[in-house]
Amino acid sequence: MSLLSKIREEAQSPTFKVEPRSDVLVSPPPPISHSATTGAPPQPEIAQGEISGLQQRLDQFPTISPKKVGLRMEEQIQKDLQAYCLQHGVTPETLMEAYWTIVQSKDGLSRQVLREAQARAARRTEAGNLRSSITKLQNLKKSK
Amino acid sequence: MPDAPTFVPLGLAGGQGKTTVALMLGRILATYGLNILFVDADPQASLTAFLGVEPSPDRPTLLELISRPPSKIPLHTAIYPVPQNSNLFLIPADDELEAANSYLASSGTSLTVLRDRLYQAGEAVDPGDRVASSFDLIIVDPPPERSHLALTSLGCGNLWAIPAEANVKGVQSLLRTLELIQSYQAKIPYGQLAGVIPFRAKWVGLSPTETTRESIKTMEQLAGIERMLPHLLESDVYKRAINDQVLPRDLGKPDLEYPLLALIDRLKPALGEKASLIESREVVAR
Repeated sequence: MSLLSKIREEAQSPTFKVEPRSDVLVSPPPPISHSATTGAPPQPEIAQGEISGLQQRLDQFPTISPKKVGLRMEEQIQKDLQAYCLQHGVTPETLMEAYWTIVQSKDGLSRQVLREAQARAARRTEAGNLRSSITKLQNLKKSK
Repeated sequence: MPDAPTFVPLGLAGGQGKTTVALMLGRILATYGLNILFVDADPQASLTAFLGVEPSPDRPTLLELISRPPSKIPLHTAIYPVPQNSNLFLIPADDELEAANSYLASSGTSLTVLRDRLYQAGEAVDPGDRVASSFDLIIVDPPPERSHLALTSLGCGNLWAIPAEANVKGVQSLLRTLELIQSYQAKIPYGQLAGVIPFRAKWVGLSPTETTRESIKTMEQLAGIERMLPHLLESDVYKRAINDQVLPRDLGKPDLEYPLLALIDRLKPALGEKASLIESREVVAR
């Protein structure tokens, strides 16, 4: 068979194949640290029951709300609270949960805390009104 | 069977007529019964498209020939038969050939790698399976940039021609291409400049336009009048011939092939015994 016949035959039924050519304008993917021959990261062997066991244990914990509560506190209380949390390895969130849980279980203490909270709310309202009045008077002064 | 020589139309600018000259020359020689191997060395792959070849994504192209050894990609596996012409064959290109420039830049073998591949240098091949001796002429269509692919095209040529537009851009391209040849001529002593072909020359009535006349005059001064070949006229017939995959003669304009026949005359000494096929046809035509 002549070479030209071989070339025509190769066109009909290719015997040599190559991988798809890549576009030089497209950045190559970052180098892969794992074995390049497998084409996929190595999978650790995991027992099927292990995940469900962990999930069962997780289900026993209370669900944490995805909503966050933003707390703005008096400056000194916020500083003291953060220092306290750091010292005892807790967070403001877990400390607040603990206070709420304990206070709720003690009726007298609960009423005492509520009164203190209402007095603080009243003070904040008064302070807010004062800030509002000051701003309005300043604006009037500017406009004259 | 002697090895086929390689012809390369060179030009360091786009739109200079490299692909037109390559394509028309190959098609004309095929009408004489010569077997032509085209090599598309331009990532734009115009020659591949004009010949109606669609490279398969999983078959080798020029990129694999240049960047992988003969043991992995034998030369004949990258050659496609051209549809509807049993004398024409092609090593095709596609966009991804651009990657060959990076490979060549790092390999340091730009000037020799394509010639070594086409002539199977260092390969143990049966004489009947030698690609270069199975064809009568190899025609390489280089890219227009001054790139490593242009250098590897230059390096594989026994015969070069410089088509250049008959305007300032063409003169500039001719100058740069002559400088490139001069820079590398000592390293490729087998290569020689067959001629300069002014391209898209414009005539009004019986006279060339001033731009065409002045440009050709400057080209004569740069390359030497003895190297000048007849010019290819500005004509839609070439474009139609390319689109229709035919020759100007098939569109009733055989005169437009005259500059290419003049080029073939210059190539004849390198074609050896095959040149007699061309001469005998010309005798019959008379």
